[in-house]
Amino acid sequence: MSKPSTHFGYTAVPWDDKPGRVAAVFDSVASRYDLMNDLMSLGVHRAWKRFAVDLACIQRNDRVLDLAAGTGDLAALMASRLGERGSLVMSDYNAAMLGEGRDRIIDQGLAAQIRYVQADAEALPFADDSFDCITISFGLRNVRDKERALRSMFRVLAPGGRLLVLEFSQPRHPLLAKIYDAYSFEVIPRIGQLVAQDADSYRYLAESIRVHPGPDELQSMVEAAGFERTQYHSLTGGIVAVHRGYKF
Amino acid sequence: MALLDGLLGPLEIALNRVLATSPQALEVLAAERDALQLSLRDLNWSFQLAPVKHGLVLTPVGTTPRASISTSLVGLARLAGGEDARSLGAALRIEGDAEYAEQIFTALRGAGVDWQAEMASLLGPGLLGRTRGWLDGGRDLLRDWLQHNAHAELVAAPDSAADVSMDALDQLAMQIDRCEARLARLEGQSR
Repeated sequence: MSKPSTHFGYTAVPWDDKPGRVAAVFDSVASRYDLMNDLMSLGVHRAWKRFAVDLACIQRNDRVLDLAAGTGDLAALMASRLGERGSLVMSDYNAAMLGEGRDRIIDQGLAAQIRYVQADAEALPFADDSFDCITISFGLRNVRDKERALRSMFRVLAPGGRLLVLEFSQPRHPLLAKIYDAYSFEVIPRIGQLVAQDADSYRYLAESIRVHPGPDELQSMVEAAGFERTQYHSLTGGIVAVHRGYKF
Repeated sequence: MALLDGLLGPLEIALNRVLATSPQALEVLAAERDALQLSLRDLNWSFQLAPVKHGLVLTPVGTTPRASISTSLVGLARLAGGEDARSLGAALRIEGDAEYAEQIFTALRGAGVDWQAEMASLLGPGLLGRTRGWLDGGRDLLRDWLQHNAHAELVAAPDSAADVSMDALDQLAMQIDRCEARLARLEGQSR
């Protein structure tokens, strides 16, 4: 049976092509990723991430897996809350991003508790029940088969553990949605061109957000993967949402 | 009520930060899973608290709770402060498994936290202070907008509409003043 096509932003691409295309985007933007995030979100992404980490309620002895860890800003926040017996694995599909993240973690003096694993979220290379908390921040929409990835996360999460997904969502107010659309498609690619010399990657970012499931649909997907007590918190008028689910 | 449900995240974070200082309370909560529903009559707001390994999860009303507590903010503060549920009389209504509700509240009280002070700081002066900030901001914005229109002669702002808006803001400011004075009086009495 032939594999279905999938989307890469607004473009339909063969199923097997998406990972390579997403990898190329992040290879291109890795070195300017944090600067671009600050510019695009006017620094608000730091508050979103802090809120997600606060909701994760990291305990000192937790075993944490940070997927799509990228440049490691979420991992750094969480690592600072772990005790000596706690541990954190930073994982990313993209080697360039993981390398950037590792360098930053070392620079911040947090390397002792952190390991780095290049892995595909759809097939996590960890034993069942290995982690107390799994986070994925602005990464799920780049995953080809989200249902499969969520099932994989459920498998490696220990009973009592929680999953937190921080992801772009849908602005609730129509006026905000219009402003947000104009900003995403007109301003962000230009900033991308100016700062990272790459407008296309940032156009993909805007498109990938539009084809990502809305908050209710994503919550249903999280539930379908086996998570319980699922809920989401909409932030900044619904521009992003933090989803959470528990494995019991 | 969707607007107040937006407070659940910050409220949960604050609650769990406090609970993190009490391993005993966390141990009791970790052994339970069922949701407890809390209805605050004066705010017309209901939400659920469910114990998890690291504290409590606060969610909008969803699943059938094991027990439901309906009370006022003051009733909740008295309950959290250690008063016996029976002494609250009609101010408190418990439905479902009352023993379970009591068990969760006992765990919270056992955390050794001054819940009344915590709630007061969250819902009392803190909230009033923030409201005052928004109010002052709104007032300035309205005044600037009126001045801009008057100077630029872009749109002749109807005086009556502007007056009504300013009056409404003044009324709100007076209410906040009263609340602040009342809080100060209550604080004085408790000393």
